Parts: sequence; structure tokens; C-alpha cells
Amino acid sequence: MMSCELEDMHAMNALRCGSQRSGLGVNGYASACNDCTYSRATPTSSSSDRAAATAEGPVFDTCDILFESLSAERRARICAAYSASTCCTSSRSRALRGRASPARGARPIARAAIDPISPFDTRRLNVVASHSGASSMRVFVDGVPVYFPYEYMYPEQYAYMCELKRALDARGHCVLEMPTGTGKTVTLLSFICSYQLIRPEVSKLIYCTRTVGEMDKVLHELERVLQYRNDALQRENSAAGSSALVSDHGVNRKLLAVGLTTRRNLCLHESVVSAESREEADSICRSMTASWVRAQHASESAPAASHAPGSGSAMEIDTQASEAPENPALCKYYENFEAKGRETIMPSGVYTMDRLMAFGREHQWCPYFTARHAINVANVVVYNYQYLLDPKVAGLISKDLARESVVVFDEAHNIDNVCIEALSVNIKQDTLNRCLGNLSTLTNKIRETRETNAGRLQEEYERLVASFSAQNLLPASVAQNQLTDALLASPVLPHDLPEQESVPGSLRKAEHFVMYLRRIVDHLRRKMQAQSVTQESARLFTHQVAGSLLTDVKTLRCCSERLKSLLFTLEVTDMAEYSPLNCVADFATLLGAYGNTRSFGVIFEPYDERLPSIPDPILQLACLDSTLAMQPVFERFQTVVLTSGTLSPLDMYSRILGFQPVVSRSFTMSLARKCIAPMIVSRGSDQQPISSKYELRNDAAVIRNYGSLVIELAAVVPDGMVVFFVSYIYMEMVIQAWSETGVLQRIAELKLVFIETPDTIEASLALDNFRRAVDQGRGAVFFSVARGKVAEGIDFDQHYGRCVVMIGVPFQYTESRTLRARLEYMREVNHIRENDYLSFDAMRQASQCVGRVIRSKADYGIMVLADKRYVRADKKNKLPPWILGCMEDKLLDLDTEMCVTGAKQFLKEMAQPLSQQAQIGTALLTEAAIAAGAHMNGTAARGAMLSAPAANMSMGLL
Amino acid sequence: MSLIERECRHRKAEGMVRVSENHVVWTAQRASDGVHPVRVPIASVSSQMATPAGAKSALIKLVTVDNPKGIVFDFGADGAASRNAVRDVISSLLQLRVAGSSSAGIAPSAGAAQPQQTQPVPPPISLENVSPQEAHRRAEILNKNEMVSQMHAKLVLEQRAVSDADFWKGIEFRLRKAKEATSVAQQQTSKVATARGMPTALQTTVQGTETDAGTQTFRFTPTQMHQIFVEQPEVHRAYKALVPRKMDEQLFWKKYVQSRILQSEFATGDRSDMFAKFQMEAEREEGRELRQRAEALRARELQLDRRDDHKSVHNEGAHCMDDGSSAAAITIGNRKSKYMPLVRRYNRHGTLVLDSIRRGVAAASPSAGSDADTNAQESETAQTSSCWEEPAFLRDHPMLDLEAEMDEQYLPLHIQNVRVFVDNYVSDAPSNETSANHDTARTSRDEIVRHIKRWKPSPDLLLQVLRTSQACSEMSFSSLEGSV
Repeated sequence: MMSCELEDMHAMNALRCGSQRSGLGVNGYASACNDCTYSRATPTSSSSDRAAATAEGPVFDTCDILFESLSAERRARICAAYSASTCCTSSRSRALRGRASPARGARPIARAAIDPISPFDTRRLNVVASHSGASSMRVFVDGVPVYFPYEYMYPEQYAYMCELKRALDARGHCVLEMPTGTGKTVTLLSFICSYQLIRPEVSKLIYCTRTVGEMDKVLHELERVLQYRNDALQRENSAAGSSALVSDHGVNRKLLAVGLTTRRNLCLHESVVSAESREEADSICRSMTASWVRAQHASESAPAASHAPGSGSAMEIDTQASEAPENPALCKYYENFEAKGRETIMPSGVYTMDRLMAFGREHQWCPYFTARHAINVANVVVYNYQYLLDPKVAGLISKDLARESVVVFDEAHNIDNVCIEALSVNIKQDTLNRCLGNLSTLTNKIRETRETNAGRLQEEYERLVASFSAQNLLPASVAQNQLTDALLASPVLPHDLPEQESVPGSLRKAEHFVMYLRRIVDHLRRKMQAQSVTQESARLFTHQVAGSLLTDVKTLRCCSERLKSLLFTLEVTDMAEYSPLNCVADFATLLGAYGNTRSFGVIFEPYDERLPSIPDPILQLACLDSTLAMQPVFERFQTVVLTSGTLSPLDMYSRILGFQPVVSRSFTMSLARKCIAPMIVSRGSDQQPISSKYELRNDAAVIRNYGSLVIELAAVVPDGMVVFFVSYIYMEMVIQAWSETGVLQRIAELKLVFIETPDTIEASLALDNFRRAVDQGRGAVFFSVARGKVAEGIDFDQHYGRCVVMIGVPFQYTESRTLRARLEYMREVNHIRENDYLSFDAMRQASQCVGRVIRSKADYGIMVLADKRYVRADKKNKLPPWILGCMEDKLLDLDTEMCVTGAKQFLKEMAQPLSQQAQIGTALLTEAAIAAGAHMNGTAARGAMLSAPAANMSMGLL
Repeated sequence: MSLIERECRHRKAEGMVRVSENHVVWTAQRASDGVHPVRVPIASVSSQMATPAGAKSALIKLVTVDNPKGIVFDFGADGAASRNAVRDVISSLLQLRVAGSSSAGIAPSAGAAQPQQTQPVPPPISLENVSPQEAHRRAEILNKNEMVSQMHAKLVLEQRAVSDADFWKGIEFRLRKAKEATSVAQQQTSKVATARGMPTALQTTVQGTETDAGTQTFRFTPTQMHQIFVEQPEVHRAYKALVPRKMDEQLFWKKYVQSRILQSEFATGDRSDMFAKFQMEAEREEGRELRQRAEALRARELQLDRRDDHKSVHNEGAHCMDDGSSAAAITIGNRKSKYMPLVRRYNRHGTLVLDSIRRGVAAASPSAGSDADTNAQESETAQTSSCWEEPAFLRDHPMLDLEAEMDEQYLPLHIQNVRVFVDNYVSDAPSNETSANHDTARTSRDEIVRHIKRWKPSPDLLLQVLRTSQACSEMSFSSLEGSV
């Protein structure tokens, strides 16, 4: 066997040296041949690894291989050998694998255990260029053939892949920061899809995005990546004489990629599409698809074959429904899906939202349920964070995903807030008032059911008596109708619910449970009648509640599941109506589950501190620990990638989220020209300091200076311009003041003015009109708010955003008691000082805002940070390195005139032509350049790259 | 009114020379050059000289009574055409001056009449080789255009400076040029009008002019009214509903001004006046329109209302809406009163401005029959999605002024009586002979007109003539005023 491998390797090298393929000369191959190394297998440490190595074949170090020039059999053998080598050759990798896997009971490894690698280290990076097409490339990243669907690659993309591979090999988590506009998405997708060929066990990629628009972009990009990858593989197979699209490992290269979003976005039924809110859409859908609704209509349409509601199995109901004629009260798309789609496997391919809708329209299947059904078998799933982080949604949607999946959180800079939000519950006075209405309705419904069909309630009671677990109290038939009947899961994380814990006897009977809920609501109402602010630990509050209700904590913990069971028994379809009661039940459940921990706080505020004269009581069960929601994800999946353009300082995330990444890197941007101009404006035209801090907020001079700054910039900046304010309230105040002083009119003389409003429809149209205005050459200014929907998801690239102005520092409302409680928690538990966190949070928001302006290297834009506080090191240094790197000293601490002068100068420079050829070798790498860099030794390669014509290229890893 | 304007230099300063009927005026382009304007009365010009063709620089020198050394205008090395145009105009004015003085009985200077006597005087009007259509057309022009008529009378009939045929050759040439210029101008004007649309700036606040006794007078031009209607739909609705059935226009605008003043002084967004009802209607209509537009939004990333928010499921739903909170109450109150109307005004204005362009383009796009709507939608989509580009008329019609000057085609003007262009010319012909010539010319002209009126052409010919005359009547002869 060994001699055979040896023969193969020498044959390959001989073949490679002798080949004269286009693009790489004979000399190149000959020199590469000298780097070819061969070594014997190293004994593996663990028995399982040894067994795996034995099964996969002998072990050797990888070398440069031209797969195309080999026979299929030999290629398969080489791939197997490579696979074994990367698994087993390096004792370090072996150790990582062993320790990074929580399933094996080991601690996460220390970051220092891994040496940073050079991206052009030939010992580990073996790059061979293939010549499959002019507009795409295939490179080897540390031995992994990566199919990259573009003609050029950015240096940072290459380095990003290297780091990603380290994390995947180590089966650990990573935090990677790469500037906006440098192709994170395509890099991730290209690499992971290529990596799946080598490592078939990494079967699923779960890509989490923030918005529906981003989800669609990811799917479109994936389509391109897979198209090229499959074409390239097809060509390789054709060359080898095989027509099947099967990898060397026998892995089917056909992938199924699907995106999942809400019913409202993925529904074909008119009434659901036109619903005004998500809850309404869900309720309408449920009223047409719930099993009892369908059973009732089936019995009406086919009396002969009628079944008593609840008595028939779901499958029987489904069959009848599918055979019944179309009923306007039911959803025909869902009926068709039930009839044909449930047992059918979707054809492989990338289903963007449009394609999924078209697929549904073609087959008359419901796209939403098709997607829900497909995510368990899909190779790539793209959806929102919530589907993975919020226990209620994750328990419903994502509970069957495989551990070997790779999870990517794109734009993950706000992930801690998402985690906090997922486990926090706010109760307002209106919530409780509506709860009382819900309880009355439930009481009536129970009475009616007791009179008409008492058997259903009795059946539920018996089920609860027999139940050994409070985790899932729904009947078994729900499992068969999981898609439609299952309600949101418990808000408590699965591992925090004891498996062997039955429902307390006081809650089993429906009337008793409603009474119990009424007592909870009454208690909360009494609590909310207080006139003073209270902040107490969850433990104290829980004991107060338990004492007041004469109950124990365990009973509280069951509320959510018990309510779900009751709503199912009563066949409630309009879940939106019962959302207040759900909210209180979740409050009680979380209190029961986490009441004895420090991770939650209970805060009561009778009024908003900004408006103390108006009563507005709110009771908050505030989650203070973002690790709670994140830890299950880290533990459940072997690799979690957190990536964004603004993650600095990186160590903050590992501390906040409570994990130890195996790779934590921040990449700079390699530029052939300095395409961003970050400036800090600290003074107005009258040399008065400008700031949005509380003391200066109402100062007329500050508002006037901000206005003159915007006017001056609007006069010199072409096309689109975006102005971000720190909050809605501040924006309203400033814009009104500008209107009264004529500033707004002067801006309107220069450019059309569009202003974001809290109404999402109005804001969407304002954005659309802004883009139209810029497209038509009118020029426009868009006024928006940091932390708003626009700041978090809309790109102002190219001519849409030639300048972005951040007015003020977007701090959170620091007087918020919830924030204070969280700061206190982080200080005590995570050892993060309050000011550090507040500055970190504000700067990541500011970075997000100014980062909207650039989305590619060909783009350019001015970033104006207009507040004197940005000059201070504790703020400025928290900007991402790629922004800091472009911030010249002369652009700090400017006044309005200097800023405008700088902007003019920058725009003049950017108006010069930029040829693509000038960027090659600096900001763009070709296949040949990557291959050449890889064939040199690491230092020489890096030196060669850095000595490229444009001296400002920065390839370093920070 | 200036007859011609051309750029030229005077004392090395860039400027513009304008020739009017009585003066030649040169003004510097920049006051900073320090060269004062030059104003030369035509009456004082004693002679005009020009450099020959092919000279290094095209110059004109005007010698006046006050300035015997002359005033030089430099048209530059490539300015021969401009120079010639100016020279011709000045020459014609000098000729007219001479003719006027002669007809007024000014005594000619001695020694200047000899050459004229040797020149054969052309017949006043020759109808040889002139078709009836052409004759009819000429008569039309003479009847309709007083300027041409006067010139014809002076140059052809009175002074016999040019023959009738040459005169009409010149007129033909000018007419053709004027037609070309008019068509290009019309083309450009129509395209610019569709491309420009509404102004970016909003209508400024209503301001009156102070008069005695503290009263203010407000004046609304039709443009201002239109702008108000466009920017404030409620006012337009009220106008349509109330004027003139319930009130006259003056009262309506008076109430409008009162409403605006009250609104600005008391800072209330909710109008309690006659516009309140219409404001509510307009807001409802706007809301419906907003939803329709939102449905048509294609860019998915812009559909903010369709997003999967990070907001927890616990904290979603009607019970969690901010409408009930005190902060929201204050904010909402503030928004309703002042802020939101302001924001909506700006957002709506931007939309209107963009829609005006889109409508113009859609209307200009060719669409016929049942495909009209489709074409309009397509053009809207194309307009929405396409980036801005240089207007077609700018691409198709490059700015010739910025390029090398082209040789203009001039028709040779055969001048029989050269003396009329010679300085210090004084006719020595007896005044009674001149008046006799005038009488003859008028008689001939009247005969022509009578002859034409009596003449009955064939129907085809008549149709052709009518077309020609219509085309002629539509032309602007303004360009002729200083050219011939």
C-alpha cells in the first residue's frame, strides 16, 4: 500500500513537472516539484482516530496536486489520504479535535494553543491554480480545493479562508472581522461548500442573517458559488470519464439550499400576504391549516366518512383533506402540500425566495411549509438569528439540526443584544388588561367545551396525569402535524427543564389552570400599582410571587407548556389574540426556571424617567446574561462562526458570550487607493465644540453648527448623502429646529430631502424614493437613526452614499435601569467596566452607520463622525482597524471648513480613473499570483506581496 | 435690442460686442479686467475697416468722429466668421444711415458722387424666372413681416443697393437658418422641460409685502399656485371643492394665507379651519397611496415592514406597541402636531419631484394602442432602475461653441451700388429723382401684389403654397432683425 502511494505521488509529480498546461509554465511546475514532501503516517493518539485513519488509508503530508491530471481512482485515493493527513498528521490538530468537542467532555482549548499561520506558508498552504474559466478560479487553501466564482480574489479573502479552515479543522468556534465590502459572504460560502467535499461529515451549513434582504442576497451568492463549483466538478469528472456528479468521496455534490422566513413573506394565500403584521398573518394561516379546522371541513364535505374531532389520527385527516374538493375556508396550497409535498423530496438547487415562491406556485404547494419541511434535509439553510437563538422559535424550527453543522452568524456585531432580547419579557399595563380579557374568553371556551365536548378536556387531563415530563404536553398527534399544530416552544432553554418532572396537580384541570393564571395576573397588577421604581433580583421576586400565590417555583415553570396544551385542546387558532396571556405565561415560566440565578433581574418602572409626569408602568423580566441563549448553540454545533465588519474589540465578544474561540482574527482592507475618508469633526464653523451629549443637546449653537455642516457637505458631495442621528427623539428635535431656522430649506435647495419615520412603510418608500432621486442624478439626503432599521440593514453603496455623517455618539440611554442592571451584572461576572461596554456598544453602532457607505473596493465614500468625543482615544480606538487605518492624523479634530476642504480634496482624488489592472497584485489577486505566492516560502511570499506596486496594500493579520 | 452679439477682445480684455440699431457696444466679461465698456454711436462712425481674410487675427476697426485713431475689436485668429457677421451688420447700418440722411435731404459731401453715377441702377423688381408660388410666398412674407418689408423697400426699391433676386436669396438663406435654429431650439426645449421637472427646493413660506397702515399684500402667480397645489394636496382639494361655487378665488387665497399665518404662529399641525376636512381626506388618500406603492416595492431589502426582526416573540404584538407608553404619547403628540407633517411634507415633495420626471418620460415614450399602459409601466420601471445618464440632446448636439469654429456658409451678396457701403458717401442724385424712383418702386410692388391676388393657381400648387406659407408664418423672424 505504501509503495503504491509512493508511486502515485512520484507519478503525480512527474506528470505535473512534465505537463505544460496553460498559465503555469514548466518551470513553475518544476520548482514546485522540489517542494513535494512525503512522509510516513504518524501514529494517532486515540483509538477512534486510529481506526478512522486505518479506514481512510495511510497518512502523508499533502503536496501540490493537480487533480485534473490524475485518474479518478488515484484522485480518490489521494483525497482520502489528504483527509486522513489533515485529521491525523498534526498532533496539534488532533489535540484540538479532541478537546474542542464538548461532546467528549473536554474543555475548550486556549487560544494560545494555536500558532497563527502565514497565509502563504507553503508547508500548509498548497495552492494550485486551475484554468477552468476566465471569470472564476480554483485555489487550494491549505490543501482544500476552493471553487471561487470570481476572476480575482482579495488578499484578505484568502487569509479569511485560511483562518476559517483552521476553525473548521479544529471543530471550534471563531470570531472573524473583515471590512465591509470585501466579500465575506462569498468567501464563507465558497470555502464551506468546497470544504464539504473534502469533509462530507460537515453536512449542513446554517447561515443566520439579520434581514430578509440579506437572506436573499446570501442565497443568490450561493447560487453563483454552487453553479461554478458544480460546473468545475463536472468538467473534472468528464475529463476522468465519469458523468455522475459525485465527489471523490462519493458525496453527492448536488446541494439543496433553502431560506426560511415568516409566513407573511413566504405565502401565496392572498389573505396572509395582505396581513398587516406577522402575528395576524400567522393567525390567518393557522385558522386555515390547523388539523381540527381541516378535520371539521373534511367532515362537513364528506359526512359519510366523518370522524369525531380529535379522535382520528392526523394521517387519516390528511388523506381525507387531500381528496376533498377545494374548500375556500382552507388553504389550497397547504392542502396540496399535505397531499403531495410532504412525502416528496425537493429537487436539489438553491431556492431563493423568488424561486421558492415560483416553485410553490408551480406545484401549488405552500412555500412556507415546503421550506419548513425542507430545512431538515437541506444542505444549506439560511434564516434569521431568531430561529436559532430564541428558545421558543428554535425549539419549534431548529431542534432536529445535526451537530456537525457549521453555523455562521453574519453581521454578528449585535448578537449579544439579540440573545438578551430573546429571553427578556416586558409586561405593560395594557398587557395585563388584555390578559384579563383572554382569561374571560378562555373560561367561556372551557365552559362551552365542557358542555359540548367534555371528552376533549378529559382527554387532556388524563394526558397530563400520565405525562412524566413537563417539556411537551401536547398529544402525540401533534408530532404528525408538527408544521401546523405545534405552538411556540417553551421560553426556557431545553437543558434547563428537568426531563422527569410532571405537571403539578393544581394545573391539570383547565379551570384550575385558568384560575392560577388569573391569580398571577392579579399579583402582577397589584405589583404594577406601585408608585416607585423598584429593582430586585429574580430570586427575591420569585419568592414573593410564590408566597403570594401560595405555590412553588416548579408550578410557575410549567405555565407556558400548560397554556400551550390548553390552547391546543380548545382548538384556538387566533394565537395573536392570546399573545398577552402567552407573554404572562412566559414571564412565569422564565421566573420559575431562572428565578434562583443571577442572570435575570426584575425591574418595575411606574413611569418613563424622561417623562415622569405621565404614568406608564412597565414590569421587565430582564435577561442580563447573553450567554444563556448563546451557550446552547455553542454546545450543540461543532463550529460556530461569528463574523462582521465591526466586531472590534474581538475579545469583548468572547467575554460577553462566554466562549473561547479557537480563532479570533481581524483583517484589514488591502487597497490600491484609499477609498474611504474617515474624518472627525469636533468643532463647528464658529469653533464651538459640537456634541450630542446631554448638556449640549439643546444648545442652539450646536444644532446650528450641525446644520451648517450638513449644508456645506451637501453642496460639495455628489449624489447620495446619509445623515445618522443618535435617536429618533434627537432627530425630531434637530430637524424641527432646522426647519424653523431655515437650515432644512437650504439643504432642500441642494438635494432632495428624505427622512426616516417610525412607520416602516413610510420609511421603505422614503428609501425607495431616495434611491430613485440618486439614480436620476438629482442627489438626495437621507436622514436616519442609528440602531434603526435602516442603519442595520440598508446599504448605501456606490452613488447612493458618497458621504455619511454620524451626528453624535450613539450611546444607549444610559439612565435605563435595564441597562444599568446589565452593566452591573457584566462588571461583577464578566469583569467588564461600564464605560468600556458603553463605549464599545456606541462605537460598534457608529461603525455600522458609517460602514454603510462602502460595500466594495471600487466604491468610495466620506465618513464624518461629528462629535468632539470621537477624538478621545477610548472612543476612537474602538473603531474597526480598517477604518482606523485610513484615518489620517490631519483628519482628526476638524472644524466644518476643514472637513469640507478635506471632502473636496478626497472627491477630487476619487474622480481620477481607477483601472482594474492597477489593483492587480495589490487589492486583487489572480490565480497565478496566489499560486506563485504559495510556491514561495512564507516570508518571501509575504514580502513579494507587500512589495507590490501600490505601497499601501496591507495584507497583515492584526 | 441688439441685432447681433459676438465675443471679441478689446484692449486685450475678453468681452462681448453688441450691435444695436444705433450703437455698437462692447462690455468686458469680467469687471475685474478693469476695461470700461465702449459705446460707439452708429451716427458717429465715420468708417469701418476689417482685416483681410487669412490675416493673423480677425479685426474690426471703427473710426469715429471723436476717435480718429479708431476702436479695434479683436475676434481672434479663428473668429473670421464672427467678425464678418458683425462687419456686415455694421455695414448695413451705416448704409441705412447714409440712405436715411440722403432721403432726408442731407447735403452730400462733394467729390463722392462720381462713382455712383457710373454704376447701372438695377431694375426695382424683376419677375423673370420667378414662379407664381414663389411670388406668392414673397408677397406673404412682405405682408406679414414688417422688418423684411422695410428692408425690401429700402434696399431694393429705394436705394437699389441690391437686386430683388439677391435680396430674396439672402432672405431664403436667413429663413433656412432661422428654421434650423428654431427646430433645434424647440427640440432642446421640449426635452429639457421633461427632464427638469419640478425644482428641488420646497415652496418658501408665504410672504407679503408691507404696505401702509400695517397691511400686507400677498401676490400669487399661477406658478406659485400650482406649486402650492402640488405640495399641499389639501389646498388643492379645497380649491376644487370650493372655488367658485362657494367662494371666489380671492377669498379662497385670503383664507389660505390666514390659515398659513395661524399655522406658523401657533405651531399647530392640525388645522381647525376650512382646510381641516380636506387635510384628513388628503391624509387618508395618501395612506392608501403609500400602501399601494409599498406593495409595488420590488427591492426586497427596502421592504422594512417585511423583515424578520430580532425582537423577541414575547415582546411582539399589539399589547407591546409603543402607542400606550408615556414616552410614545409625548412623542406621538409631538409628531402629530408638528414633526410628522413636516417630515411627510419633505418626503412627499421628493416623491412629487421624482414622479414629475417619471411622468414626463412616460408621456414622451412612444406607446400606442393597448400597449400604452404596458409601455408606460416599462418606462417607469426603466426609469426607476436605470442610473442617471447624460440627456440625449446633449449627446446628439454637441456644443459647437467649445469646438473649432466651422466655416459658415454665406451667400454672396451682389451689391450693385457699392457706394452705399463706402464711408462719407453722399448721394449727389437730385432729390426729385429719388422720390420718382420711390414712386416707381411702390407702383411696381403694388402691381405685383395685385397680380398675385388675381392669379388663381391649380389646386396642387395651392396646397403646396399653403404649406409653405404656413411654415413661413410659424417661423420667428427675430433672427432676421440683425442679420440682413
